[in-house]
Amino acid sequence: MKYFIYFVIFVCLLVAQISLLAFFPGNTRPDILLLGIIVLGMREGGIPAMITACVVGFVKDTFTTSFLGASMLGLVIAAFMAGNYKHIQVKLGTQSKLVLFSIIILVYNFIYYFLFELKAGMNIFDLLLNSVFPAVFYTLLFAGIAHFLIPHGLLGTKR
Amino acid sequence: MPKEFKVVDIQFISITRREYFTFLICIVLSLSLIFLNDNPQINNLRAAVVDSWAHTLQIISKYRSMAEMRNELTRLRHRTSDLLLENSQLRKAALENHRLRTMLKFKEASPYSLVVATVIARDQDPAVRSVIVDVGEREGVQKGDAVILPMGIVGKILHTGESTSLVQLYTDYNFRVACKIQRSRVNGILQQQDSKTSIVTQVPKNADVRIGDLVVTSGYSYVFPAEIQAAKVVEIKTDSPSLFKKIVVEPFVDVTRIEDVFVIKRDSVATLPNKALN
Repeated sequence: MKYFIYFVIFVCLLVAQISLLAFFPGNTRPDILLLGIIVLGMREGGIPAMITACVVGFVKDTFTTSFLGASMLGLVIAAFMAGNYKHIQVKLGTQSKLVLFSIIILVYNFIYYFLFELKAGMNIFDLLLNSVFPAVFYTLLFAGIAHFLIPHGLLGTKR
Repeated sequence: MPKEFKVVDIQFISITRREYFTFLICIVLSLSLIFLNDNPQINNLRAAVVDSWAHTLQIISKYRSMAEMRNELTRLRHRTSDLLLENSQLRKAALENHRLRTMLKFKEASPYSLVVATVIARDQDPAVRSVIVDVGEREGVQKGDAVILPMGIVGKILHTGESTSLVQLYTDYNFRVACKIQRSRVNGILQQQDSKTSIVTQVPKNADVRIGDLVVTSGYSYVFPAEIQAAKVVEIKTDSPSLFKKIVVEPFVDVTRIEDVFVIKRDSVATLPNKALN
């Protein structure tokens, strides 16, 4: 039942990411699929997150002009990193969780945009400044909003 | 160090082989896809996935279009109301411009000293018998001054204040003005018969008057100078037992719609030679 709910959530996230967020103004937009994968990894562990990352990454890639597999690779790595959170029994404060979230989002976006912009031949500085950092900021902002809107927070630990 | 960063207890649990294996498989799969991007079979697979989502995306796209259309409709409605308002203001400005140009031309061509006055209040009676204008003694307006428009007579000043004056309109029952038929020079008195009809009285039954003749001021009164047009003959009644005809006229000025008027300064009428007046 739990995994069925996750399935439904990811279908909704996919639809939202592909159809609705694609019409956001500007070049960068929040990656809500990435947020879903991170939350799944932190809550349920690496294996379900990585399998989900493979599937949703593939579907997402089919709708972009990037390499097929670019999102998939980034999401799998993000899922693996988030899955490790479960193996470290640490009492983390809000700021520490934010740092962890930021690192995973940064890694994913770097991989994704590196492969995405590979075709255009953009240099690394432009890549970070124009694509990676705005995307990280935007996604984190969206994560913050979602965290405050969801009753128990994104990770179900909000009191 | 802030409290949130304080690590209380760290206990590393080793990552299982299954997790490493899954990670490895997923990475290999992703990299394979990246390197096989140009493969026709991969492209077919890509097309199949897009097709499978097409129906869902179409529904969303339809709702999005409807939402956009609704927004566009709302925007257009606001725009329409703005444009209607703007159009109305432009029409008003155009009419005002036309009226003021006509008045300016009239003022320049007129031999009299004219004061432009704006109607600031009017009698609420539907027949409208008096109005208040925004000029008074300060502008040199005196009691008894004639009030006119380029089309014809309006009335006369009944009372003056420092900066306002009360105008008795020609529709007032007590208003009288000496007039004549312009074509035949027959004299008469223009007055109001009832709330709707103006008449010319004191015209003998044998006088030459025809329908359509112009009625102008005769200049015999001290109020109105001569030859200011007042009305047009629309009906001639000779069936009454009296010695005079009753001539129904249609004034040129509709007093219910006046906004700006001219007041003829009495001094300018008195100083003009008779030739100019007649």
